[in-house]
Amino acid sequence: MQRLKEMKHHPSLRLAMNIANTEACRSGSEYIEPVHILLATLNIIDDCYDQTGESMGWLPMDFLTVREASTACRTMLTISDEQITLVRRHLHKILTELSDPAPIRKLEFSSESMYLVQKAARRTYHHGSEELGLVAVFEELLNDLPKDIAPLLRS
Amino acid sequence: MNRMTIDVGIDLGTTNSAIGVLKGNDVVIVKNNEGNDCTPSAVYIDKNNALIVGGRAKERLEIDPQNAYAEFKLQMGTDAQYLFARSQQTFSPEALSAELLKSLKSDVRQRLGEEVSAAVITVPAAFDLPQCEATERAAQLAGINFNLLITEPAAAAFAYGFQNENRNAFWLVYDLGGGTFDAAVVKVQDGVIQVVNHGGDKFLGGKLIDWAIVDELLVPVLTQQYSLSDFRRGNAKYRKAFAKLKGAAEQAKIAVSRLNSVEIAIDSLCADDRGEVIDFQFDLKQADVEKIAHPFILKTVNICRQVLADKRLDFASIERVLLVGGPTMTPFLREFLSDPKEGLGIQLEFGLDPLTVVARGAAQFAGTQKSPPPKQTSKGQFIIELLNYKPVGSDPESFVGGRVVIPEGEDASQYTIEFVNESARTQWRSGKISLLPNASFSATLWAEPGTNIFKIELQDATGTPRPTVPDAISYMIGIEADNPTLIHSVGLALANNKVRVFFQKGIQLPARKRFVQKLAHPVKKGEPDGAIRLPVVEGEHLKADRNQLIGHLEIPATEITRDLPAGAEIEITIAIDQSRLVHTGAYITMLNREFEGILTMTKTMVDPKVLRDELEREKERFEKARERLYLTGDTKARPILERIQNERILEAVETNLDAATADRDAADKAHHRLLEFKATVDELDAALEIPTLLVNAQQMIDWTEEVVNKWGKESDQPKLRMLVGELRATMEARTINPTDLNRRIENLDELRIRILYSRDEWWLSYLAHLEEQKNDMKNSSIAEQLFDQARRAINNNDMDGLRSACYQLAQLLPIRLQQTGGPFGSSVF
Repeated sequence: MQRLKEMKHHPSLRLAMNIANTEACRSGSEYIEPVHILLATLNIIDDCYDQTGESMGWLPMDFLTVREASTACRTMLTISDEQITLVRRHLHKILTELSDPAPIRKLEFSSESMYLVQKAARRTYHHGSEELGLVAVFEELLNDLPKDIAPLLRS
Repeated sequence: MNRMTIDVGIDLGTTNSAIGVLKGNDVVIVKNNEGNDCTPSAVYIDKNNALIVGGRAKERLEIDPQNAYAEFKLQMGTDAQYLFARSQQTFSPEALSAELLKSLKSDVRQRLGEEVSAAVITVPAAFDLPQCEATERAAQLAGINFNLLITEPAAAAFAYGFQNENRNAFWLVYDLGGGTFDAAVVKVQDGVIQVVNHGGDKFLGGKLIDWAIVDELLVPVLTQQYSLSDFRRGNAKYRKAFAKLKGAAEQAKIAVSRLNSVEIAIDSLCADDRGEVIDFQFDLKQADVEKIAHPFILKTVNICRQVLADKRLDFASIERVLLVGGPTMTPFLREFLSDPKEGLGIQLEFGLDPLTVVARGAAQFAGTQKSPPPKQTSKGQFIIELLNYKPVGSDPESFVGGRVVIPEGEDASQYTIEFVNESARTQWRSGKISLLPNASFSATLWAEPGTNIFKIELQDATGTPRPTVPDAISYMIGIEADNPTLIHSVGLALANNKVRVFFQKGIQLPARKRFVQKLAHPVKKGEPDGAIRLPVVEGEHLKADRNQLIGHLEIPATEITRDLPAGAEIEITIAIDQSRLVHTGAYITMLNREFEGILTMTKTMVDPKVLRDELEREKERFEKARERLYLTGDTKARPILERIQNERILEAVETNLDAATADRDAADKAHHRLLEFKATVDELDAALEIPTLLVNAQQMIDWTEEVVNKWGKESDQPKLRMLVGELRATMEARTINPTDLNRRIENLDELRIRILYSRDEWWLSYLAHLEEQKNDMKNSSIAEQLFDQARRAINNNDMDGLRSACYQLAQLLPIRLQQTGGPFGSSVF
């Protein structure tokens, strides 16, 4: 358990969590929910992450590693590039319409998000890696998509 | 011949062009119908309306300049038009380039019997995106329907890399052509060539030296010896004479590089003011040409230094300098470059012919690129779509994957595919591979050094061989090229004249990015002139207007379904494909609507008068910066000033502006050089910011101490000590923060002003100062009334009245309002 907690996070995952945090605040949520992580990943797949990366003080090298993770996540989806853009925008719209946006601040994971990340970390650890990446978390997300979102990601 | 890779490379040069075709492992430079490797990039229309390209057209430039054109490459991407006087036909620069390409294609047809419909075409690294797009259009016009553009230095590096496959090193490509200069740092590692940095100047080439010889040596002698009114390049009356002078200067420049002096003799140059024919003679000395060429060569060296510095490389990291382009054959240039102090001091490499090395490398690169798939097949042929296939690699094992187009209703898994390397010393077979139900396949091929041809054998369920297209694929163990990289940064100009950089120079293509920006001003739906303008710029400068505007994505207010407030979010997408076409999109969240488009890239020529006004303003700014440099004596800013002087940047703007009224090329050059001048003055300003602030800070300390000591109260002394202490600490900090320094200066100034404001004599001198600015005040009659009021207050010893009048007068001074939308009228920030 201790080893799992000490597991390093790949830059792509740190970026995704940062975007998820912003999306959660903008949708007025108290916690980062799996849907925010999903939306953050779609942002990354859809090349919409440079602004967040810049705000994190990233160097060009960091962006390159995200590109690789983004390509790997993209291959897990069977829908077209245009559909990914539509789903991302749709998801962002419905989330922000739910309630008033709150100022951007650091939010905690919800228990569902925590469980999701732990599952991904456990699997990563069993595969012999000590770095948790976005790809592993996205795999878990796709395995357990909320019923109302799952149809959006099918072609 | 059915080629599996593109195999044709074209160097579309400013002065000369060449075409190379890959034959096995070697490149054949195809000779033109005059028997030469290079074809002069010139077009002529003769008396019979026949269009002639090459050497014969070049000869006509001097004797029939109204029906012959050259150097049109430099106008690619602009709206320039070339009128052939006799036939009254008008050509765009890309249409002229297309004629040149057609001529090169016909040379291949004649010599090798092949039709060229796909090619790799080279462009200068310094070319901007509209120029690349125009080159694409020229290729399409010439019937080269499938083309890839690579940079000239990348092609040259590829040609050299091909001969040195096992090296791991950095090289510097020094490519001085007729009209452009490119420098590129190339990394060769484990059989892969990667261009790590590019730099260049699209208005720096041998022809500039030719013109400098004409303008600085020949014209002064001519105007001194003969009576020639208004004898200048921009005067249409002397167009023919100047074409002759330029041609003679070019030839003499080449000849004098190996001799101490050369005689220029032009019979019947032109007629003087009295109508007498001038036969002109001039003795051109090597030393004079070297003196004229010096600032141009120095500029190339500075670009090389910058290209290396960008990547934190020094001269010692570079194994050698690859010389490309005709002017690099000059002994003086080679000596200069070899000099470790003034030049580069790196070993020079000129093993390959500098005139054809670019075409050679382009053909070799073309050999690594798949040909387009066939559009039509004969009856019974099966198309093979190669989805995963690399024609070149450093590994003897190569993976290939794809799919066979099987007639509908047939079971794909009944088919087998096999690859056979018949060119190997002992024949190699992949073994029969069954197709998957979706007709896809994958195989690992085994290759021998050099080029390998793998025959494709497709068999149906009965074992009957079926013909395929292609019927074979090639794989060569050799140098590989990385993806093309972006030559200049591309971004969006913002309303505050800053740039939101989307793509940094050097990133690999294709690439796409999305950024969310905010609307700078409200846009009313349906407003006839209203629009959201998203200007896209190319260049490395932080200020938008120092870069090249390459196009706009414009959303007219008539297409907007509701009013948009300032601050409304717009998600902007910019994508650049491998051929450098720019696609843009804007998604307006409030409207839930996407506006898309391919950027229309045309460069509009700037009016020389506008350029002249801008130049005057910039000269003023430059003078102020020079004064500040004199005041501060800063050693870091001095080299920037020296660069402006040594490279004669300001003179280059002036000379080209003088010729701009009749010479489009000169107007474009003047614009480019003015942007460069502005950016260098910006650099000078930035370098002087802290030294100037330090001088201002010291001055403020002296002034405030004087004011406090003379007129301040006792209680002002501790405050003065505290503020001076804070300011000195900021001045002496290891890293000086200009914002902090400015704030501390202002704090001290506040104390000084407070004391001064309490003094009557200060208000008297302030009134005198306002009177000096009377002509700039907004409303002269009110100003006059206020000045009367102030004078009356002085007479009545009414200091409050004087202060009140001064305050009101100050309000009448003009306030410099920031231009909304910045110079490019951007709608976002």
